[in-house]
Amino acid sequence: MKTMHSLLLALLLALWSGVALAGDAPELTVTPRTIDIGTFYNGTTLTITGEIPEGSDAVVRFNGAPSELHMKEKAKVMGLLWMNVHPVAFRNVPGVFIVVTPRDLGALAGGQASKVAGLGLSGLGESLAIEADHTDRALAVASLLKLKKREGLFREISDGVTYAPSTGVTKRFTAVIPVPPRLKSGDYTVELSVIQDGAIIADSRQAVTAQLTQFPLVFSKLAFGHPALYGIMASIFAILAGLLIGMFFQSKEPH
Amino acid sequence: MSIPLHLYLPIAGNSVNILAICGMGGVVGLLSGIFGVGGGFLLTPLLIMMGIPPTVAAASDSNQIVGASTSGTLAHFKLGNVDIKMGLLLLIGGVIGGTVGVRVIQVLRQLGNADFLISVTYVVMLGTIGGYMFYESLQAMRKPSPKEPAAAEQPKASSKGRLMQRLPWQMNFERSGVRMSPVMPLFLGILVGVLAAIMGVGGGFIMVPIMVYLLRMPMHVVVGTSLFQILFTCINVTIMQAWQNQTVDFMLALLLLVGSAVGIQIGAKIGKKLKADQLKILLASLVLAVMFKMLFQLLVQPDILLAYTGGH
Repeated sequence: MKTMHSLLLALLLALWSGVALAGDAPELTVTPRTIDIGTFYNGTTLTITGEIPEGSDAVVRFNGAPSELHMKEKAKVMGLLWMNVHPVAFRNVPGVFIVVTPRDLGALAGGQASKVAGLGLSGLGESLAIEADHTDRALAVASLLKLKKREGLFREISDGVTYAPSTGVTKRFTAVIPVPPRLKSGDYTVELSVIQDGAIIADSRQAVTAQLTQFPLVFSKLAFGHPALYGIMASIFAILAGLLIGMFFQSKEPH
Repeated sequence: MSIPLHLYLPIAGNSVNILAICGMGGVVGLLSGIFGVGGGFLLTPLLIMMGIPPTVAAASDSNQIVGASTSGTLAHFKLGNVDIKMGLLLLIGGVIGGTVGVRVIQVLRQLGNADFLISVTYVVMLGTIGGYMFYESLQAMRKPSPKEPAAAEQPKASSKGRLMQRLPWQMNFERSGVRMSPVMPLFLGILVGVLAAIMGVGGGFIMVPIMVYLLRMPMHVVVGTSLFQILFTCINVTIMQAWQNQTVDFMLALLLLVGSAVGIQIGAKIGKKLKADQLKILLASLVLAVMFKMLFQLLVQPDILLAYTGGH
């Protein structure tokens, strides 16, 4: 009897935990919360940890703020020359889009076309708005995704989430996001989506800030705050550097 | 503690390998010192390949050319290769021509034909200049001649020569060893300025052949004088780009400058050892190589059919 009561209590607790976790935003810890872009910055990593129900999976995304991107589409002019011809404007393009999963998104989605499958680059492509007169939408989006992947700004990493041994009810996950060197200062978001049986059962967000420090901050303030002075100073420094190097070489010559 | 190998460029919004950028600057500086070109037509596409946005690449490149051409002008000045009088006339013409050229581009952009014209102009100019220089230098090298044609020679009274002699205010340009009216270099400077504005370059690779073939200046003086003229052109471009477009990344320019200012000094010494015809044929080869690269990019389908707006 006592055993039956204990078993019933454990079952109720497990059910309640699952329901509670599914309903509440899951725990999410991002380290560091601030990315310092200093003089020798060349990319960094974000470590994301949290707790999700046993039997579920974590998909973590690192997103930059959406913006508009004005580009030119290449086409053949006079049937001969490939040139930048038609203007194309993309809306809602994130500055960075990196998705980290424990395995392929298609496998997580259970082979179905669902919101889970849309968490990756294909979903991003569908969410983009395009303004253009002479453009094949699918081709333009594919070209943009290819360009951004080449720049290291859009990535899908299918083995970037690991799990600690389960406690029975929940399990801890760790995801490592490689932040690219080509990062601009601004506000970013880390998003966690908890996947179970091919559906998103919970999600959570955490803000991350990238800020310029050291020389990049000094030069950026000067370039954008006092542009004419910055241009004059850049020219003067260049002349002085050229003179110094020139005089150094002249002093080394035999007389 | 490890030595940092990368530097973050705040205007370009990207991180670059310090040694790669310095090395790139060094190679281009070497070519500048040998041939008297700014090197922008070489360096800007290389920077774009390294992930620098085109507009920042072009503007920062101008900043580094200021330093490199200062270093180069000093080196050539000590060698007696800078004709300041001629350089100033070409410069004044270049500034006027550049202003006109910018207007021409604005009109063409409104008509929708600017990019096509720019690309065709690039290929035609590079091909014509490079081809002519190559052919002429090859002919000269095949015929043994005691020295390069001195300015005092007037081999035949061509119609062009007679026209030049009829122009007013004839004056001596002692360093170049030529006598002509200032109208000629002013006019040619304007022409180069217009073309340079259309093509978005400093104009060195156009100016050098013009000084050699139309102004009949000795090749070694052409190199030094061209660098002198480019110096002031690029000071103007640097200030204007920083002020109006905020596209000059001084940290990038500084890295390039360290390499190019050293390279240009070495280039000046190498150039001193080469004969004029050797210099011409090497420059012609370089110009033709760039032309073929541009033609290839125009004729072959790119793997990504999108490009950022702005830049080259």
